[in-house]
Amino acid sequence: MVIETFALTKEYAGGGGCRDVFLSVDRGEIFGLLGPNGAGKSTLVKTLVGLVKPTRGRALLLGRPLGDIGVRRRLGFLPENFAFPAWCTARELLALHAELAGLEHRRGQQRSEEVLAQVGMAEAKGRIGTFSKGMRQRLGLACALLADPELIFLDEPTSALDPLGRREVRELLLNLKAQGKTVFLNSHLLSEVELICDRIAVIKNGEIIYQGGLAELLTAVRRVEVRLGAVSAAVHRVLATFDPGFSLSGQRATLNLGPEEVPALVKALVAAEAEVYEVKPVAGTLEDAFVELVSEGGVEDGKHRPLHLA
Amino acid sequence: MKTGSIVRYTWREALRKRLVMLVAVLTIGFLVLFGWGVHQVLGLPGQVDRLFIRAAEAAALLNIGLYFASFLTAFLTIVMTSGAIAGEVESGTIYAVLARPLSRRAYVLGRFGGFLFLSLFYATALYLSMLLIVRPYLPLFASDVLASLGIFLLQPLVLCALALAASASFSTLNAGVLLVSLYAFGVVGGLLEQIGAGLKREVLTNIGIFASLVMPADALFRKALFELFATLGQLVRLGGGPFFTAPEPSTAMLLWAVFYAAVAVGLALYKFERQDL
Repeated sequence: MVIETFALTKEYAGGGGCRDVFLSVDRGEIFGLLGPNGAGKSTLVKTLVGLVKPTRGRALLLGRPLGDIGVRRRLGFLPENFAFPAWCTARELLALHAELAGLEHRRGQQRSEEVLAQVGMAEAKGRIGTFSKGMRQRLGLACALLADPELIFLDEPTSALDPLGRREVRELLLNLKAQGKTVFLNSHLLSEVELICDRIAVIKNGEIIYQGGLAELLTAVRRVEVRLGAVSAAVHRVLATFDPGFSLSGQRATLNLGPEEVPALVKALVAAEAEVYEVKPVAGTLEDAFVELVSEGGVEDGKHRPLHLA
Repeated sequence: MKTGSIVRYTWREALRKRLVMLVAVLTIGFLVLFGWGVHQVLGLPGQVDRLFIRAAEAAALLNIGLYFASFLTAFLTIVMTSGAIAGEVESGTIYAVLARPLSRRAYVLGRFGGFLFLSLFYATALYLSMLLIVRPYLPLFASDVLASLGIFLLQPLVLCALALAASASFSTLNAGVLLVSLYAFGVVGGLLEQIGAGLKREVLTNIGIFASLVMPADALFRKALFELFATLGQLVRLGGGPFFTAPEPSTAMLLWAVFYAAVAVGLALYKFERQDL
């Protein structure tokens, strides 16, 4: 495990923070932390990189306990606000970080050029104060990658980028994964997470309400769409027995149902003399799953909160 | 080694932010004005021709000049150092830096070292420039100058350390306001102490001493003046002037200043070590 947390808790006097977080992230995976605004995503990341002291609980990063300074040599971190001193140039900033990361001078210069090229900033000139938000975010990413870290924390790495820039960053992250690096991605851009993450955790009000594979979560949200002729009371009853929460708009009914139950549903509908035009299983999107998780909330077994499964 | 990186970062920041350039320009203006004033009073033929009186006049002018030099140094130190930590936290630039293998202790000491060196350099340059300007009219002794300069430099040390502690505890603005207020408190206390000594009113003297303990900068300045003219002794008393007065702050005040600065730096380390960012 690259990251393991045990009841990690950070409480603030005014509320907020995160509570009893048990997370485990494997080497070589892209792990997404999702959650609504103010759910505690950034607090959790700041606690892991040592900017915030936990109230209780503990965590291991690359096998070392929180607060171990040496292990930070092997970490990269892009903070949420990616603020850098306006008065220095991109290369000066990277030179400082290379020194702090303990890179030897020549190696530092070489890495600076490499990471600037990686984020598309090889031509960057002038002081950071003159950079656009997108350029600063790219520079932040370069800074996080500078010391060739094994574990990279990225807090909203594409919030200031245009769609093209986002795509480049996605490719960059997949590349890192291919090199065996672990990426901890904090994001509320669900489409982005859906495209690149292997596993995710969802945090709400400071508590982890889901942790597991992305594929599992997506297949957990299963819907069946049925197009019918006239919907009689009997047909209505059949639909309700399969999914009490089914929705009906015009002649199209949507049920939360696994594909394995489709034959039984069709049989029952036909028995109730329904006219069935179309039955179509629909795969869930991360957005569906996320909205469902976050709006219902609640933890059932502490780790995997089952979705509404028929 | 990591502290050294932060020191160099701090210097570069100070030089880039134009603050230092602005102060340098103002200081040169101040020195030109002072030199011109000294020349007008002492340098023109037939003005003051007796060596003894001329030296007394020069000493008085130097007192006034050094008072402002001390004020400028204090101002620069406070303005630079109040944001040493708070400024970086407020702008958010500190996050990426502290996620590096760098202890908070090394960071705080690096910021302190960087700003302290700049303050000391500035104070030394200004102090020696002023002495050079009056040198043709005023005999000074090297040992006096060295002792005096050493004490003069304790002022930026105390202010820099206290501003660092304030910067680790409050916002940049609040730290700056606190430091300026305390500095003014020390100056007013010093004034009361001198008036108290003149009027032989012990209460005033004690209030002044208390103020010097809370903020030693002004007492250090007066002590530095005494040391500067230690050998010239009586001569200087004839110079007088509004900014030079008895009583001489005790040597214990020097020890207190060093102790004070050490405690302030310790406080900064303690506060920042426990701070959530």
